Amino acid sequence: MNTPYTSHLRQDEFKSVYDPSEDTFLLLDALENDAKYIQNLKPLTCLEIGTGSGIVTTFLAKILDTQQTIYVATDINPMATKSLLLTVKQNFDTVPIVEPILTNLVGGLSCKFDLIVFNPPYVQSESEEIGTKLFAATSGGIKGREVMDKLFPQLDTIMSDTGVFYLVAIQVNKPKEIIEVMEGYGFIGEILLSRRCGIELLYILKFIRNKQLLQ
Amino acid sequence: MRLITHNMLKCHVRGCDDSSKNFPLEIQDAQLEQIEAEKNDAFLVRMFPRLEWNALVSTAKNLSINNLPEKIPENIEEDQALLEILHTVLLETNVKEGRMVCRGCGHIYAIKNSVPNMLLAEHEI
Repeated sequence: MNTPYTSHLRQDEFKSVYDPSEDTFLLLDALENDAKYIQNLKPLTCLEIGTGSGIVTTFLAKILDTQQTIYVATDINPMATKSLLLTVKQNFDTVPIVEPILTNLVGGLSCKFDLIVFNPPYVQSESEEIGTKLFAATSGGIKGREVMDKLFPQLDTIMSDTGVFYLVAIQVNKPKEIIEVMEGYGFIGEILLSRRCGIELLYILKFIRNKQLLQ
Repeated sequence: MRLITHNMLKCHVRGCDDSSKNFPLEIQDAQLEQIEAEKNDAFLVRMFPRLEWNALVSTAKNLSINNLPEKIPENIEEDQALLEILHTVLLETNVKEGRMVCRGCGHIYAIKNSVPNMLLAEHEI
């Protein structure tokens, strides 16, 4: 599948929006590899946390290729919500239902999502850098885990019983430890894809609910 | 923000946990616009059980949209007229500007350029 166009990102006003990079492309590859699964899931509600350019939500909409899904995408950066809509618009003739929300992670969402995807700020950094203007898209604090660790306990309330969650991580985040942490919250995880990129080893993790724990 | 999205939002200020008050948020000073969306009955029929019906009806009324039935409708897949209304209300009615007020704690969430702002400061979460 073609990579969605994001040419508007070259404009100056979007310089605060994360440019699709190696981690983004690995996530797109993983979603494409998992396309059959995603299509069979027939998700009614999709959620992208920290959408940035909007390329991932757009790609998902391409994979699903139906008007049977509402795509909700959050970000803390107003320019990201603007970029998302532009990315969607330039990649579809019939624009799917895409709803941007400015919020911290999943704050304020009260419904259940069938598919959730998150390319978090995962770079090891000072905790103080988290959420700051320059580093919001990248800095993840201690072990690069602070932002995603905040999300994990909240997933239970926003993911439907049959839902799936895709997460980007790097080696320093300890992907195997992430899977263990998520087990504690009632999820089963696997490494879907990994790729070396320069000094970084990138991972895409996939989680579903542990069905035995569901009533 | 389309009205379907409003049906998915609640107040998330720390301590504002009374579910009878933190949802739905009350839309005020709304500037509405009609946007066009591809009609898809199958989507509406599947989405219907997930809607908070009472919240939708009260929100719509508040915006002077009075054509939704009070009681949760049955067999909506056979009710073309209702599907038409649902499509218009949920997917084509967009809040361009305005604000959403929590009936519990009074927190105000702004809606600007059609985007709801649910951001809270670190000490409010």
